[in-house]
Amino acid sequence: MKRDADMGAVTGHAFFGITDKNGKETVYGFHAATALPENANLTFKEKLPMLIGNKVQGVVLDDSKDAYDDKMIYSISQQQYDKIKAFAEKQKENPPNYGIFSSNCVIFAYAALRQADLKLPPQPLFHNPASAVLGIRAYEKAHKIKHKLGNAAAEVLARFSPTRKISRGILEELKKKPAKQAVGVKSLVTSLAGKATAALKARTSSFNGR
Amino acid sequence: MSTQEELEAGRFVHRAMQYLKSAFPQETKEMDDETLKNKLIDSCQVALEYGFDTEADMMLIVDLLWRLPEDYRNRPEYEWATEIMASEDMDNETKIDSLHNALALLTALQEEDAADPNKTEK
Repeated sequence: MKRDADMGAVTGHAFFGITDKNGKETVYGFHAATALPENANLTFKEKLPMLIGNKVQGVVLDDSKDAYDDKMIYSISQQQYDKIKAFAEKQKENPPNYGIFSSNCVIFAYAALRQADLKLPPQPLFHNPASAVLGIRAYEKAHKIKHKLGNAAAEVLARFSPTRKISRGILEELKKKPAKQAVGVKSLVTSLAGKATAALKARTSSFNGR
Repeated sequence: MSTQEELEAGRFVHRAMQYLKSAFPQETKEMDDETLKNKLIDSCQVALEYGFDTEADMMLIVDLLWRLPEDYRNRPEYEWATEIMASEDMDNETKIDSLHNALALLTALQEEDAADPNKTEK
């Protein structure tokens, strides 16, 4: 497929391949339909609003002829292969819309590989096609912002349980109560301390009274 | 609902309020505890709506929501937030990562746009 030199060179792309037990590899990559041959004559400027603005039709293509700069290899079981293949084929048959922020090639590849519970590194910002749309200066800025968000996430993960669940019912109950009651431990400790002091006073005065 | 469960949830809300105060000092400075608690619970309920039901997952979404404008659901440039949270193809970890990428890219784009010297005020 013919791709714009400016589009192909700067946007970056992510795709994945799965190899069956006979060594046959099938490669899948997710694209906006603007990348289809019939849109080859559209300029980058014409394509841009389609990608950023309203969502356009997505398409899953065979990217086996695409060159790549970097790759990761995972050894997977037959069961994992089947899960990834089933997901990719389903998406190929009925592709979702393409959205540069919410439904792009990186997200597609990650969603597919997650079907097999593969432990993947964080999604690389620099491979995201949106980064190229922004230009290098904005990309550097985005990288810094992502780093800050990563720090905030690390703090959240350090402070909150990854397993304990909170139900809707409990949250609704807590909303009805005043903040002091909802805060739990602090109010409980204060209340208990108050009660203990009162009890101690009562005992002391009763002792003094003897 | 058991007392233990309620106590744990109360502790969670308390810790979450502390987190929001430290992570968003400007936004929470003028806010009384009651307002903060209710806003926190509203954000937690949004997280629950999309299946983020553990303390950590919920707070990762709360943290993100607090970085978006309040009316993000009605603004087309933030359409991605709901789309990613509602996606049936991604697990929670992938969703959080995608949300962070999208927010970082959009914020950078907005900052670049605001700083563009060629942009003239009408």
